[in-house]
Amino acid sequence: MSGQAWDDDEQQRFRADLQAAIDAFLDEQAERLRPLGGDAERLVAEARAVSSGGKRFRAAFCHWGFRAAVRDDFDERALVRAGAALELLHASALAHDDLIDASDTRRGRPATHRGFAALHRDAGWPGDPEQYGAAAAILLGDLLLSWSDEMLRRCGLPLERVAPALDVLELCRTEVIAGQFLDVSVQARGRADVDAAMTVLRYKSAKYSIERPLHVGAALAGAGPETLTALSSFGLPLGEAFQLRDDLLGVYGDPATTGKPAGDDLVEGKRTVLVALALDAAPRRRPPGSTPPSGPRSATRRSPSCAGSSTARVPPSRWRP
Amino acid sequence: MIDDLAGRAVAALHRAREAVGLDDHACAVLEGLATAATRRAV
Repeated sequence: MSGQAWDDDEQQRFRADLQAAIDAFLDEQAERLRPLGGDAERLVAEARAVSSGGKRFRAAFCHWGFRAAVRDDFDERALVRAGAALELLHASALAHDDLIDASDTRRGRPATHRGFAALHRDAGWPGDPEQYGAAAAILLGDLLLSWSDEMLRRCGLPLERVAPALDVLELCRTEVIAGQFLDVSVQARGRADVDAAMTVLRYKSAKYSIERPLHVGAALAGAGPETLTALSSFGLPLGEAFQLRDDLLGVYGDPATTGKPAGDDLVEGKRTVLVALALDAAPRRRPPGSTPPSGPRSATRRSPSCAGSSTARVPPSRWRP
Repeated sequence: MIDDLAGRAVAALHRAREAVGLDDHACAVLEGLATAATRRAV
């Protein structure tokens, strides 16, 4: 199999078609919300911003999950709209995730809650700007989640083809939200364990980034359980590798490329798999009065106060006292 | 670890193509996407 089977021009056209589908859908929603005035306009403008750009992996895996399972002619526009539904789901997750993680930026611009807080502050409105920003991010995330479902339902394929894909999307939503809560709970307990961090990674990211988009595409193609299982065997480990790479980029990536500050996860005290593995590899705390390790390696080891096992207490987090 | 998982994924894709008859061209693209998703520059 060749990795050059989807050339750059085709990929660019796919991304442009995807953006056009999202723009058209948001135009419809803007029209629907017009009676609500300027506040709704700002909400839709933010929806446009958070659903723009990115690598569009979810839509691409949906598209090629479909194409892997079907060889007949197909409705290209409908398939693009189905992929766009997954990008709206992703945008929803980003708006909520940035609020939960108290992130300042996303793709080089203020995170949704920060942008709306700044708007509140600049306008000199009474009340708490941060509270307003948080409310806006929650509502925008909810709206995008709802629109994701609507866009898939109205993608243009016959309902009997769309219904199984909607079932997958329901499962996907449940997994990503439960995974997010598991993440928050792991942070709150303040213990970094590789297995727990891996479970968070699997549910919060790996499944909804690659495995479920493949399944949505294959379900639209009418694929049966055997094909879905086969696609899982590819999509799940790939999703895990994808998120591990993302964690690495979060620590060592160039902010100009990633659009977010490097080291945010460490500053936040996030228990990613990367952090859990680092703590696992760190030397154990020595009992009082024991002999320090000798040899050249000991000179470069971290202070015992920083060391610990994979379940050691890690730096303070805002999720616990 | 990342390369391990990505390698396992691509091996599984090859098996899946044979086992359930996935489309060859789509599998080739999926393999390319797998590389793009896991080799993003640090």
